Amino acid sequence: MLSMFTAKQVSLTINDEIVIAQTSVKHSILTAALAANIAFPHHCRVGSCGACRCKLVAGEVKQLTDSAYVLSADAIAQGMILACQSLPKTDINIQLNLHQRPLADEPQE
Amino acid sequence: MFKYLKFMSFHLMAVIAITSITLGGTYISIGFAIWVAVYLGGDIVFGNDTETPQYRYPALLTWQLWLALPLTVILIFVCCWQFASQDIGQYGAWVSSLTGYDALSARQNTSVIQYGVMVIYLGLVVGVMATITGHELTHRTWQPVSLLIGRWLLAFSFDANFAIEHVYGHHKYVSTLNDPATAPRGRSVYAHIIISTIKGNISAWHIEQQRLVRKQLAVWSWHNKALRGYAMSVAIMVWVFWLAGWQGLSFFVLMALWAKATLEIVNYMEHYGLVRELNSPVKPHHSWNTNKRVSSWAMFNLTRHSHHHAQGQLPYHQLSPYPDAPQMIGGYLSTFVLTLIPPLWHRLMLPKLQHWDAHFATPAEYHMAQQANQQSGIAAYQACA
Repeated sequence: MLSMFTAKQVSLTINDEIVIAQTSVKHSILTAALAANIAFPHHCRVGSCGACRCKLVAGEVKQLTDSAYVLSADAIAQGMILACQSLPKTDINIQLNLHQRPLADEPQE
Repeated sequence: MFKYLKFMSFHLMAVIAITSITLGGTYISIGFAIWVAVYLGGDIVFGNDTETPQYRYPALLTWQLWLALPLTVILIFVCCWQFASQDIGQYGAWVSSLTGYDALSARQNTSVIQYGVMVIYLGLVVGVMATITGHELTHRTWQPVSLLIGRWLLAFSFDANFAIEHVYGHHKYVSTLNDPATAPRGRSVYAHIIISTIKGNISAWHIEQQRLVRKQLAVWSWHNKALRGYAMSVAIMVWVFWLAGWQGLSFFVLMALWAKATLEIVNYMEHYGLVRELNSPVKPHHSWNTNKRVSSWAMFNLTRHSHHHAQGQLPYHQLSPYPDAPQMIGGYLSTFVLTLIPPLWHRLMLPKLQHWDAHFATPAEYHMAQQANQQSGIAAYQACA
């Protein structure tokens, strides 16, 4: 329990307009956004569907699973990450379409 | 206190298994009978558990799960000892000096029939203790140790790659035709064991291959988690062979295949005949749920399957019972036994499916369900389309 209070806090900025001033580095971006009542698109929450994909514009994250299971090489090269599997390591800035639908199957490369 | 202890039944049952196999002879059958009586009879007698208590120390629950790995290793060791020509690790002598029971001579008198029972028995034990625990742990992407232990537990039934297919395949495609683990209406459990095992392994390979290509890594290299998964099972087989030679290895292979079959039977029960549109959200009605007390405790709420699929990231103690979700016929082991008699199973599931179509299905799913009835190859299903 103690670690919850001592965990490093960072800020999360979405689409340059929504700012969550303080979130723990122990919570995923999706968890933080949902806790702040933001209608962040999501679906499976286990890193398999890609509905919560977003673009990391600034800052660093720790990815719990390999996003290459879900996102194409192009998407990864563009900085796309999965919000449900990414823990912020620093203040971060992300962009996404807040009305996006779950991923249709990515074409095989 | 009890809210922690209630999820330790599989540990107690593992100790019973280890003891009965050490004692040898008819004790093996007695141990098996205890397992069946507890899990089959328990669900019939003890009803439902729909509580979702709060835990101050969830780490204790995680340690309980991790304990499954040493218990599985001990269990397989004792089985190997039963088959070995020597008293490996002086285990028999140690048991004799500790208890006065002559385990070595009992071992010599263990009959072929008891060995047969042991395969069925152990497959069930590994299915409950290693596979189901492995499933829970492979979802914990935020705990690397859990992921590792989970994969090793699954390797005891040649299924470390379940960790790939289950998360990136099954959870994405559940109750659609793309999911190897969802049985369409009319398929028998025996066909499902074979089809789901083969398609599941192929799917895991494709998923892993795609990841490696995207990362520009060689498919035939140690980066390949699917290959590493098979290597883990090979490592266990080498260990078993080293302990107990060909006899032990034959036992292990049969046992592990049966344990894998038990997993596929459970998959079969959990999603039989359900349909969903591709890319539509996974809802509680896309799984068959049960809240039977003994099954829920033994399999730490895998039974609360509707919530598990709707929110796969939740550790088991946070799963809700969802009493309004579609309910399985019985608890896990009683339903398991029913699947083994396909004509009876199909007949018992017909009213359940009709109810599902009428009360749970979306309009699109209703249409898909009618098609599934037509394609089931069963007259009674086709008649209600």
